[in-house]
Amino acid sequence: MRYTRAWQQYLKLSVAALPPARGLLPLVVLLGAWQLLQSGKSPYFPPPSDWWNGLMLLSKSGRLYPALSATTITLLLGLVLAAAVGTGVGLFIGVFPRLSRAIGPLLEFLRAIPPPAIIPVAILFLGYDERMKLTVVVLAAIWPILLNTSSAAERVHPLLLDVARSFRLSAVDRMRLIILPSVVPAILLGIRVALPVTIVVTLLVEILTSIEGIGALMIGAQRNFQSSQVYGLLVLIGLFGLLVNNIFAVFEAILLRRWPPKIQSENF
Amino acid sequence: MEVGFFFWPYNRALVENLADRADRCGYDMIGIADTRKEAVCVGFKGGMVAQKSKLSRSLAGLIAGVVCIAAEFTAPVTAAKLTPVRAAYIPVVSWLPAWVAKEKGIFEANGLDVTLSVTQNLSVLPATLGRQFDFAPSTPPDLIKAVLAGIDVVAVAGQGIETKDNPSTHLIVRKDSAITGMQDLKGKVIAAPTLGAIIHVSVLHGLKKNGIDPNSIRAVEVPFPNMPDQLKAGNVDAVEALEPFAGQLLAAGNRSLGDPLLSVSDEVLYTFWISESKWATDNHAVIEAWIASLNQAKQFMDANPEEARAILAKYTKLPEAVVQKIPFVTYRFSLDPRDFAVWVNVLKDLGQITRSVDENSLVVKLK
Repeated sequence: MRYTRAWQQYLKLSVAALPPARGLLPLVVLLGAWQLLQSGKSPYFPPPSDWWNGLMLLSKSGRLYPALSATTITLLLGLVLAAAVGTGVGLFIGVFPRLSRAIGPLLEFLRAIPPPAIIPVAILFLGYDERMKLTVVVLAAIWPILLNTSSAAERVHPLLLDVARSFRLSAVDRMRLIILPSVVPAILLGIRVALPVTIVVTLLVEILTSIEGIGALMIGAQRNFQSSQVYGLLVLIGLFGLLVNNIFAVFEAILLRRWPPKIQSENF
Repeated sequence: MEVGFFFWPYNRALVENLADRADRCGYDMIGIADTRKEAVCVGFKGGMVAQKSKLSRSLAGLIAGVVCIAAEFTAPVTAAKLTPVRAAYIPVVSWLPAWVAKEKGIFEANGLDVTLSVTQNLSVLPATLGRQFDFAPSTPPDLIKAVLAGIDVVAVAGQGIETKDNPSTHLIVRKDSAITGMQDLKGKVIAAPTLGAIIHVSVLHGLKKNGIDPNSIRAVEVPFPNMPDQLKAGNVDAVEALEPFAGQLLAAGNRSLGDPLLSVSDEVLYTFWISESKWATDNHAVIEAWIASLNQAKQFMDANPEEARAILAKYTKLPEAVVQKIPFVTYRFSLDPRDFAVWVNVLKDLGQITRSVDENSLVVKLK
């Protein structure tokens, strides 16, 4: 009973700790000014009220929600997969420095390949479906998580490793009780950094291949010269990114509530 | 215009060079001097005085160079004034007459100084007219959608039409595919170069005509060069291909389901040139010169197909062997508003546009 209440309190506290919505005020002011200054219809700079109409048109024609759900699913799945693979590989190369030296250059090479360049090759091997989308997204989003994890695993305090040796912990126990808990904050930071990358690459794949999603809607609207829809979708994506970011921040705060503050090496 | 200048050359060769240049640019070299004592007045290709100073050498070269360049820009009064025109093109065979007209000086003979720029996707071009370009390539669905969205463009000159005797676009399936006609395409994946553009619109129209719901197929965007690989890999069931890719695909043994454009009509408007409306109203003479140039270019192409193919190779940057096999498109440089009405109906029928547009407003009225 008390545990549940504490958890709910944590939820309230972390939501309150989010950046306030009034931070969006400059954007609202800009949109308001645009609405007032833009008199009639314009093919290139429609007023924000037109953007709303454009979005309503899309949702009434039944294309907005399937696209939004397709993008969201790819995003979330991609993030989860990237986190899983990134954490796994990162821990591996963090714990074994020799491995890190061995495959380091290869990882740097792969990291430098821009996602748009992977897309044609991925299409050839995987076709035009969700698998290809996820592959490209994961390949792009993995890097912040992998690098953060590996560097945190390398920097586990030597005292903690001595503790493991004192207690004669097995390798699995050492990983589970010492290394993993030290690395979790870094993993979450990596995911936080990978989040915008995931959104961008998901939209990119959709724009370049017109596979179902918000990106496909955007490029379709652009080709049909419906600039109001393009702007509306841009605002939608911005808000969506903000929402996902905030949800993740709350999730991170709740997850890390039991974590000790960061131990500075000087204190030892 | 005459310019006189004095300078201090350092050797005869330089002076003769400069005199030659000045003469070519239509100038008289009227004075060369080193010191007042040695000043020489010359009418044409005059004498010189040696002067070994480094400063004067470079100064002389600089002045002469600047003057000669200035001369070439303020053109001598003998040359006629050419109207500068900026046009975009897509590197496909449909736009060959414009390249021929440029290469063979036909534009210049008609008083136009044309700069051609390559672009890859014509759906972005309506927005560039009046800014970067005066003429841009377009297709009927593109123009209709642009006009309905409020972009002020109009068709000014025809280019290509698609006829039964000369199809340039094909819907192609693998040779071992179970698909025998459009009716088998239900639920399949079709590769289109651009969704919402003319080829895909006509495929959707053809599907509807054959009783298939256009929403039942899945369309993905594939650039033309990637189509053979995607078809072979089985990632897509059918591709919408243009020459020369269509020719290559068919030569590799794949089957054609027909020309999707012909589902709209047996003879259908395919490509044409567009301009900004206001510019078009003010520049009828330029448009007529443009159309005349294209007609003359077409005559040249008919008389000299080999040379036309060489120009085609130059602009499309395709290999020689491929260029030899590309069939020329059927060209028609005049426009009839009724051809646009057909496409307005197609788009309305597919639900891609909600309002109608008067086809007469889509074509410029030249007289």
